Amino acid sequence: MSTYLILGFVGVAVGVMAARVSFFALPQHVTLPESVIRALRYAPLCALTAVVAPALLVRSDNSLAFALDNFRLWAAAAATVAFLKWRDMLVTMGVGFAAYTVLRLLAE
Amino acid sequence: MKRGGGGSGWGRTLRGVLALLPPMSRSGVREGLKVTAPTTPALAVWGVVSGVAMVKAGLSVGAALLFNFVAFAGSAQVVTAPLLVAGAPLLVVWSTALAINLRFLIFAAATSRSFTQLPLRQRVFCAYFNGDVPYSLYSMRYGMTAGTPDHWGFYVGICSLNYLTWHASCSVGILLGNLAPASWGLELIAVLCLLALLLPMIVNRPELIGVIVTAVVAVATVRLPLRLGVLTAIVTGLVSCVAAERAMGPAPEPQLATVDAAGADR
Repeated sequence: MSTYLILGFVGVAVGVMAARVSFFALPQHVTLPESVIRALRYAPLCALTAVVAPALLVRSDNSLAFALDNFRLWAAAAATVAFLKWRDMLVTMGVGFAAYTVLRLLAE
Repeated sequence: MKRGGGGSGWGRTLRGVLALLPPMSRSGVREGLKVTAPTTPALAVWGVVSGVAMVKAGLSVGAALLFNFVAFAGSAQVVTAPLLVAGAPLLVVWSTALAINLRFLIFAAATSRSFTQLPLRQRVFCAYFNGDVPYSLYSMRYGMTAGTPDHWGFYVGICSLNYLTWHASCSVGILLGNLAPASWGLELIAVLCLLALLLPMIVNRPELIGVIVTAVVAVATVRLPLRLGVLTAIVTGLVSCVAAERAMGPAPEPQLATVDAAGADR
């Protein structure tokens, strides 16, 4: 295993730990301003989107993949519809992957 | 540590570990285990999926097991695995993981009052085992109240079952993912898994605007070197969320950013 990977793992661990410990370790009177807390609520949403969007819309050669044969996009659309209907995360993923698999087998 | 050397080494280690635990009541621990039990099936499926996702992103079985054991970081692992495989700069990897886990900062700010009476080593120990399930179960029950051994037992009960379920299921996922044929396209599971985390977070218009802005910027900046587009998109998206909230007035009900309303992610 490369030093790069080990450093990557450890850095992620330290960051997560720092976020978890933060206010557990600080004295009680130290708190975040309400406005900062409100802004922080959006961080996970943006971080997830920043990873998901290119994974769905960009090919490995960095070109846009808006074509009809982009099965990933169809799978994501199916998953979104399933989420809106059932509001269940596992169903969302199951429907998305089922859609992908059906398209893949049909295209063969 | 000597093996079988009269147990003094082991005894010291055991005492060291016990000193990390907060005072707990037996009934508190039982209560914690009881409320956590119904969340374990969903969490277990989630763990398996995350394990599969990490391996299918291209991490070796050994690397994925090590990553999961060291980081205990749930969705942040799934997000950073492909970044690490692509050789993105460590700063990008770390900040992306941190952004995803900033919700723990909010949790810590919201419940730290329950833990302030404890010595630092016990607070840090409690904090390490925190995740989405402990977060939601504990805040629902006790929130901002001052802690008692009942509270701490409840917390430790939740955390221990949560921790064991996660590690068992994620390890299974890592091993299973390695066995599945490449033609199944299981790597899409990682994307769908993140999408399933993302969708429930879009509760109001600021979130929707933030998602659109982040997605557009992330796609537009995909050619930037060193995967810097990821960070650019996160920062732009965050700013647009806050701006949208300012423009539209505060959301009717401030929602804490738990990754999963169903409590499936830790």
